[in-house]
This record gives sequence, C-alpha cells and structure tokens, in this order.
Amino acid sequence: MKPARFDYFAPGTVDEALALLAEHGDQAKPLAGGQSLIPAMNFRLARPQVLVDLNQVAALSYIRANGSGLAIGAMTRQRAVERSDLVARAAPLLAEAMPSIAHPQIRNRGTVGGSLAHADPSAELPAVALALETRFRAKSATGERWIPAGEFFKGMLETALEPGELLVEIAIPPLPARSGTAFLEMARRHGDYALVGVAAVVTLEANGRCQAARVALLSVGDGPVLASEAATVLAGQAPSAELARAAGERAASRDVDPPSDIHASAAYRRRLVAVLTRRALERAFERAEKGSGEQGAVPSG
Amino acid sequence: MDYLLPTATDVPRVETAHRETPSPLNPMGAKGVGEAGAIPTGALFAQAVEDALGRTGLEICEIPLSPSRLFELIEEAR
Ligand SMILES: Cc1cc2nc3c(=O)[nH]c(=O)nc-3n(C[C@H](O)[C@H](O)[C@H](O)COP(=O)(O)OP(=O)(O)OC[C@H]3O[C@@H](n4cnc5c(N)ncnc54)[C@H](O)[C@@H]3O)c2cc1C
Repeated sequence: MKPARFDYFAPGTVDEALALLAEHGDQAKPLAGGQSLIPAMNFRLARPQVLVDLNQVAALSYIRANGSGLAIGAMTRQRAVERSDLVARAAPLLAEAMPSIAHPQIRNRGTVGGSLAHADPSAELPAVALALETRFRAKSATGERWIPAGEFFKGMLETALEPGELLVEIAIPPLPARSGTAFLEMARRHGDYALVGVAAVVTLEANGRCQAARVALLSVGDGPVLASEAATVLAGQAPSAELARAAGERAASRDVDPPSDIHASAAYRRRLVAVLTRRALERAFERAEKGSGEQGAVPSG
Repeated sequence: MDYLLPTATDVPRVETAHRETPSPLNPMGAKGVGEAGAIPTGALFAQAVEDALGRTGLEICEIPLSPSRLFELIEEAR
C-alpha cells in the first residue's frame, strides 16, 4: 500500500528539526531510519501529516567515550554500533545484542534512537538500555531533559517523549569493576523478532559473591521488563549453576506475565524466560569472574 | 506480516531414493504426481519428531510444529 499524504521536511540541524516539530505539534513525526515508521505508514497504521526527516542532521550521529561510559547520538546507525570497537570495549552487552536486531540491511538504515523511541516490546535495544541504566537526553524547542531508562519506556510503543520532543542522545554509564554481561534470545529464524530475550548484568564483590544484578527481559510484556525478583535471589549469593537456575525460575514465576500470540504461548514464553535467564546469568558470572576477559570487560578508570 | 513462511534455510537435506510401485488401477500403471507428493510431508515430519521424542506417548496430529506448539504437546504428554 501507499502511505496517506504527508508533508516532508529535511532540516540540517537539531534546532531546525525542533522548530519544525514545535510548529506542527502532534501532527508531525521524526523520521529516522524509517524501518518501522515507513512500513507503518504504508500499512496506514500511522498517518503523520508531517515528516521531519533527521537523516541530514549529521550532528546526531556519533559514538563517543563519555568518561569511561558511552554517549551515542540518536541517529547513529545500528550497524555502526555493532561494528564499533569503542562499544565492544565500553558496553560489550550492547555489542553482543546488536546482531540480533533484524538483518544487516535493516541495521544499515535503522538507528539507535529510532529503535528506542519506537519502543517495540520485542526490540533488543530497550531491554539492553534498561539493563545498563541508560539515560535518555530529550530536547524540544523549549529545553532539554534527561530521562532514566526506568522512566523512559511507558508501555506498548510508548515512551516518555512528548510531541515536539526529540531523543538526541543516550548515555550509558560504565559498569563497576568485576562486572559481567550477557545477551541471549530465542527467535524462530535469525533476524526475526525474539520470542523472548534477556540482557543480564552482574557485579561481583571482592569475595566473589554477587553484589548486584540487573536482568531485563524482552517480548514478555508491554515493554522491557526488569526482573527485580530474580535480582533479589542473586544479591549476596555466591554464583553457581544452582543460583542461576533459581533466579531464572523466579524471573519466570514472579517477574513476568507474558502474552500468548500466534508465535508462542504464554507458557512457552515463561519457560524460555527461566531457561534463557539461567543461561545468561551463568555466562555473565563467568565473564565477571574472568574480570578483564574479552566480554564483560570493564574499561579501566 | 505475522505469517512465517518456510524459506530456503528451513529446508532439510533431501536424499532421493527410487522405488517403483505401478498402479493396478489402469493399464499403464501410471499415477498422478503433481502435488500428491506434498500431502504426506507434514505427517512425515510430525512422525519423525514423535520418533525423536521416544516413548512419551505423544501423538502429533497437526502442523505447523512451532517450538511453542511442541512445548505444549510435550507438557500435555507428561
Ligand atoms: C524486517 C524487519 C525486521 C526487524 N527486526 C527487528 C528486530 O529483530 N529487533 C528490533 O529491535 N528491531 C527490528 N526491526 C526494527 C528496526 O530495528 C528499526 O530500525 C527500529 O525499530 C526503528 O528505527 P528507525 O531508525 O528505522 O526508526 P523509524 O522507523 O524512522 O522511526 C520509528 C519511530 O521512532 C520515532 N523516532 C525516530 N527517531 C526519533 C528520535 N530521535 N526522537 C524521537 N522520536 C524518534 C519515529 O517518529 C517513529 O515513530 C525490524 C525491522 C524490519 C523492517
């Protein structure tokens, strides 16, 4: 199908884009990689009257060291993140999750900001952002604010962004020493949206016990779900296969209320939560114990 | 959009064997081919999966056999 009629603007700067969004209010939508918005318009599930194309706004595309964390511009292509050495070092969890997003052709166009602003509950980036306590920098014609990941995702395809507001950057803080991370998902074919996915971050104390854990799940609710019950099972305990299993079971029974759809029943998704959480935790603990190993490496300083 | 078509990567390795069974129903022994070969395929896969799962008493009478569906069947058979 073809989209409904719309007006099109291609500003060259963030300020011009913000002025256009302010002028057209909730009639307008930013266009990033177009990998979700254009199909939605072609199916007439979305009918924005004005598109503000961000693809000429070069200033929104960057990956930078930010202290020992990371700052990534909203228009940075998913493929650029996937291939970045800096991301591999400073946020190995993000690097590990990238190849699970769609296919290379789509990641060449799709952006970090587009995926996060779209807030598909089956998308990888929102869960990774939640696990890594990412902060979201939003700008409008009248000002700027930082939104923590826990407040950014509001539900099915819904975020804290207001009409007229652009996501311009995400900031990923560095992980403490002795941290390890892992990303896993189950999809029927590579590139499909996941039936369930899990992003795990663990931090160990000097004595090897688990100090803190953040496990974020995708495809099990209206948005990314933080498995806080699973985290309480882990806190203060010595890592073991049995501990990982117990945390996985707790996540499945207490943290999620997954939907049934034509791809998977709720019961199957629950089972996947238990199994994938266990496996991701085992892997994250192993990487944390290896300390400066390849994955889960902590940037020094 | 939500209909998962099998693609090239889902096709298993195929081995071809010949066996002649002329039809007794006509003088030439000829049989229709065309789509006849497509009909038993689903059942064949279902039976192979039943066999692979050993003695669970599981009987698969329906396709598609998605991971989710298989999980449900195994749970029911337990
Ligand atoms: C076949 C296919 C398979 C896919 N599989 C996956 C998958 O497995 N996992 C996955 O996560 N994704 C998948 N995607 C989606 C893909 O990752 C998209 O690129 C992503 O969801 C949207 O990013 P985009 O840059 O294309 O944004 P767009 O489609 O341009 O925009 C998406 C939405 O975000 C808004 N928006 C964009 N940028 C901003 C901004 N800076 N500030 C405020 N609002 C903004 C737009 O207005 C729009 O509403 C798939 C897409 C396709 C076509």
